Amino acid sequence: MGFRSQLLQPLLRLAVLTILVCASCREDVANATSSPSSVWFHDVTEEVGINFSHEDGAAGKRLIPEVMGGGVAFFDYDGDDDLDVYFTNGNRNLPSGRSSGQIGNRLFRQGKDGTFADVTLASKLGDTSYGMGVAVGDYDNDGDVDVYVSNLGGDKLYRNEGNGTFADVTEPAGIAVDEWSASVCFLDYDRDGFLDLFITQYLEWDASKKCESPDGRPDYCGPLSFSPIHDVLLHNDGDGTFSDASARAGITSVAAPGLGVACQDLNADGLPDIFVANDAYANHFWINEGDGTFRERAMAMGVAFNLHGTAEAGMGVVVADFNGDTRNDIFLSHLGQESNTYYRHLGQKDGYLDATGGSGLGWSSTPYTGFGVLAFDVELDGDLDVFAANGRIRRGEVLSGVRLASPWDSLAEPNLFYLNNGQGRFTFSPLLLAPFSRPIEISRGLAMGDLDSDGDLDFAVSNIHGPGRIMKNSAPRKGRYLVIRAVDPRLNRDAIGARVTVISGEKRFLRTVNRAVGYLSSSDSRVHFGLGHVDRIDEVTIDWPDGLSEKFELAGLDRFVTVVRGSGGSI
Amino acid sequence: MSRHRQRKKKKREKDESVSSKRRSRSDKPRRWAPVGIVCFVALIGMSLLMIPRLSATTVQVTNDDPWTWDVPNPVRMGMDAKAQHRLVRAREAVRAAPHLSSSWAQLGTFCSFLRFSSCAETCYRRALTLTPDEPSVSYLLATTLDMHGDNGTESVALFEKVSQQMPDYPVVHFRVAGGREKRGDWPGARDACLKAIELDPEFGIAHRFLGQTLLAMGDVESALSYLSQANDLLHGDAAVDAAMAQAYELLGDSVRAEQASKASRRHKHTYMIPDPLLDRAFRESGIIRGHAGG
Repeated sequence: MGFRSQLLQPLLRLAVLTILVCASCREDVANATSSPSSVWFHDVTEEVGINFSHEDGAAGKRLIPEVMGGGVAFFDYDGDDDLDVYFTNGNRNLPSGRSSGQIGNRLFRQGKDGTFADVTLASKLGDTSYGMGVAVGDYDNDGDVDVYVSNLGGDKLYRNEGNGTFADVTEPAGIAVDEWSASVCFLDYDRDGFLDLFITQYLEWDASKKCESPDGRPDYCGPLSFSPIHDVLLHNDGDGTFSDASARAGITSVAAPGLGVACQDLNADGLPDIFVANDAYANHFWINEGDGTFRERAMAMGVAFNLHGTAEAGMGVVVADFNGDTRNDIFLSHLGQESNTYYRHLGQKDGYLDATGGSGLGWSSTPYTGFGVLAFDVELDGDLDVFAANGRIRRGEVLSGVRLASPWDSLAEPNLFYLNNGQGRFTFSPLLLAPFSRPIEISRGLAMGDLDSDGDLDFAVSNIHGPGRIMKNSAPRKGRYLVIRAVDPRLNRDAIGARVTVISGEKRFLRTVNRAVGYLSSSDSRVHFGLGHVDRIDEVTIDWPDGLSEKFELAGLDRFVTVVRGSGGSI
Repeated sequence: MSRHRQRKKKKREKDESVSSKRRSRSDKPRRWAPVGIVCFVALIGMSLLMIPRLSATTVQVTNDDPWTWDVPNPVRMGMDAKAQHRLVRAREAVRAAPHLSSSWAQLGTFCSFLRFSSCAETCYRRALTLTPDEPSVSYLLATTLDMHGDNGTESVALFEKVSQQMPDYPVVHFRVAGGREKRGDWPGARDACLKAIELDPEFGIAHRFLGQTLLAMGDVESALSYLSQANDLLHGDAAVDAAMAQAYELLGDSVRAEQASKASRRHKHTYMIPDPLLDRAFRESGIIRGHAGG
């Protein structure tokens, strides 16, 4: 062997070693993409036949609607006991956003084999206005779910005809919400058994307004560049029509750019309240007074501003019991340079405390602009884990790994996932959710539901200028589960607003029947319990929306059950 | 011989011929040495290219020679001519004197203003490498990390280091308080805030934050006292009123809680923290703090 060869071999060995070292340095990417056991969700979008791509309508003018929209919903529109998927879409008619007649929202029907077929045309649910959010509920109590679509410039209500088609009943139902609507929820605020509607209104948008980034380039305007408008409460009159109850209920007393909404009992008095995440304004916390009116109490409840006294740019909101004390806490997503915020519920009279510091949800979210948020028990260990969908609204540095073309590349950010330790302390776990956090996109809506009926929750994410994605849960299971469908056979069939508590020994698990979660989106109405290592269920109690409380004895774990109002024991 | 065995035999012969070719290749190192060297250089080059991409958010400066350091270039198409001109000048200043901490700090401040956070971080880290004991550089880096999110450890450590270097500077104690709160250390936040107020009794935002921290800790009476002082110092502030509303609510005084809530809706927010150290850094870069991105 010659001298050169002697020299060459160590050099080559060194080269190989260097490459190996570099490869191990890139473990954040490598682990997240190549090792199936380390990934808890899989992107099955193509596999199941979903091919939705969001149309933002951008034409270089940097109009804010381009970066705000895109909700997603899971619901069973045809009553065949599996979940179908609906994405809202923009169009190319900005700034008016008026119906284009072509590009529109899309509905995908799930077949028996778990694949989806595009049934938009057949279902007549392909609204072609500039779409923002979607809410789902049986407003006419006929046993099938209807769909409310929030738009830029004219919302729509679609009645389910029960034969696989929908009818646009916006006008006959008396709905005239024509500004810029964002998140929407169905709730029965007056407990008459008919679902009412709360619709957040973003702002009085003026397309001629121009804004710039600090370096003088055209950029999207922020909410402070426009006048805010008040949100809208529509009362369901029970005859298929709605009347505007905003003024008489007190909702018009304050105005702010509303984006996210949660309609749940926030002060544990049995009545559905309303929380609105406002963009750069104090949040709204509407306490239901029980007489058809609401009182705004965000200041006194400690949820108007964060602990630093900042009115944060609220986007998405989820209300759930994060620390297992059977009180509903609040989690909000915010603009970059602000952290997402976790308000812990202290008790009925004590309000909430900004407990972000030390929760693990703060620091890691500070660089990113959060929109959709979800909370569900991924690995069935008995606590709620957290998802946040991110994507900027203003120019920024293009992050490493972004594959979008300019100018969208400067808006893309990775999504976030946190594991809960059961006490409301979270661990940022980017590696477990590779398809959710990579590819890096401009994500907005999130919706959850058990798509494949295997007992764990899957989810969908909508992306601006990108595909809607379906993520299937394949996390290693750390416990048992129970899925409960609460049914009121009389009115408000899906029992929207019912509080369901599962009791097993000393442990109590609280969930609320609620479709409107996060940002612009709607999830399955069944409540899902990850229970950890319990061996039995002692009791299930349900506080029904009309005030009745019942207890049920449900034998068996790892199953789906339907619980009917009136069939339980009184408490 | 069966067909299967014939195939096996052929394969063995083929393998042997390949390995003999390999042997003959290894016997001719001279011919392949240049290719190997080229491959080696290419691989090393590729590896070196990959390293800077590993963690854009935690840039570590390991090379001691500032003349070899890359100067970040945040200039983008379509930038305002004035901003572009200033950036180019700041970059030229760094290129001309990369051994000067101040030139890196100034470019970092530009980058921070223009929302190029990793550029700002890189520049401040380089400035800090050159002048590890210069408190203003530590302060600027900590502020950037705080705004753009690290795990809290480094920014708080830097603020605490500056608070030891500049113990009479009230704002840095306030920053320490903010950092500690973000890590869930409320008693630590309270103590740092008390120090800031001790140094500057007129520091309205520190009074507000102390009041809110005490409220979070359950000391409602003390919280109200500091919030009242904050109200006087800030001449009406929406967040102070909101915190007072919660404090009154916790004390069961719903009437005053409602009054404070109403006041909160009337009042504006006080956001800008009076911070001479940051003001000076921005002034030296020709930027007015508080304008977009500042």
